[in-house]
Amino acid sequence: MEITVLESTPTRVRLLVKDAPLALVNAVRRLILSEVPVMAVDEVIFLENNTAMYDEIIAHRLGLVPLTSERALEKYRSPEECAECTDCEDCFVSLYLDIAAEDQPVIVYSGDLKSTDPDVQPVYDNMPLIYLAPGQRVSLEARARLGRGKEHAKWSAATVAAHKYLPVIKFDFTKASRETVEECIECIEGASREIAKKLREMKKGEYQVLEDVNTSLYHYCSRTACKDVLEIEYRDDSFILTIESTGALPPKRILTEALRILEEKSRSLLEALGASTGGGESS
Amino acid sequence: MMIPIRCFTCGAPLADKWDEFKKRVEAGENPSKVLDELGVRRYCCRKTLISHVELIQEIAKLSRIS
Amino acid sequence: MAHYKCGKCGKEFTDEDIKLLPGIRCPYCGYRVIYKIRPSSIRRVKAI
Repeated sequence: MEITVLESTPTRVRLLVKDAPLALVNAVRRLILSEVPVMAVDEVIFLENNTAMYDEIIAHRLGLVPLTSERALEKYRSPEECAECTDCEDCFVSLYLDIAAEDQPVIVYSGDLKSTDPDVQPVYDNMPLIYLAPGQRVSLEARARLGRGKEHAKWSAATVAAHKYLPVIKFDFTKASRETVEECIECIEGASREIAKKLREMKKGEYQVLEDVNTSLYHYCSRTACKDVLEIEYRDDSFILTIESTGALPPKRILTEALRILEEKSRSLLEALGASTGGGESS
Repeated sequence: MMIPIRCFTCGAPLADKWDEFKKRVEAGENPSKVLDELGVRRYCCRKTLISHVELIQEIAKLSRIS
Repeated sequence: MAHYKCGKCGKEFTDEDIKLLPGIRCPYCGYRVIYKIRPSSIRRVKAI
């Protein structure tokens, strides 16, 4: 297996995974969405709320605010352990909010939440949460804990985790007439200028589409427009895996965490099958 | 009512982009360009920001009795 | 116990007091618009 990073930004990563089975890539994708734990507000205690929004709406909005979770993964108990504990002292972080509007309306932002733990803070501090008209007040304590995406989407570390087969354009411009080729390239330019330029330079061969473009359009080329000149294929042993983070964890951490969980789950499966030692080795 | 914290469809955080989006669009910029620059690429997120109407100021006037 | 407030005279009363009169009325002035007051106790809400 060979992995290449195609794109890497603080919230998004695209990987080319070569010579890997579909089942493995898909397992990683599913674990990213449903198993990687992050912090999110679970329960809100309202001391005062006379705003136009109901308690439930405010609680729901607080729940969706992404919280920085990188350090929290080691510091706090896992969701499973927390579900069993009764006193729940070490599993949660409290975020306090107490704001009153006097004679001017106030917009409460996520940055106004005061956390008891500097490692767990709202990722973005400019999210409008609550609107206070003059004379209104809100005072609450929000309790955040670790959770998993399978319980509620707010605990999902990634907004996008998707894989697709590697698209390959097979083409031969030398066989066709000049007009056909020009027409074909012009058509491809509509989808991606970069690709059209590279195809023109190569004239003939196979082009792996590593750019972040929708390749469905090339079916039109191969079936109708540029028949016999161009063909699109999908290599089913290579994948492009896209991960987009909510900001709670960096995408690389999401991936390593998902792989760690996969390893753990595989091991517990082997143990359950009574094959933890000796045969049944898997990589 | 207020801008959704996240996109209904994909779950990407949106509320953090609202203030800038609103400011720039009201200043006369093309919404499509602003969304591109804010990194809002999927149409689920784009429609949520574009079609949002901030009504909370109107609703807040009808304050509670108690 | 639920607390209510009359829409006309502004007096506060409970659900027990409402039962004194037939129908839903303010027990002090008989006005038929009453508001429920937010309880003073703290509230726990699940953020779902």
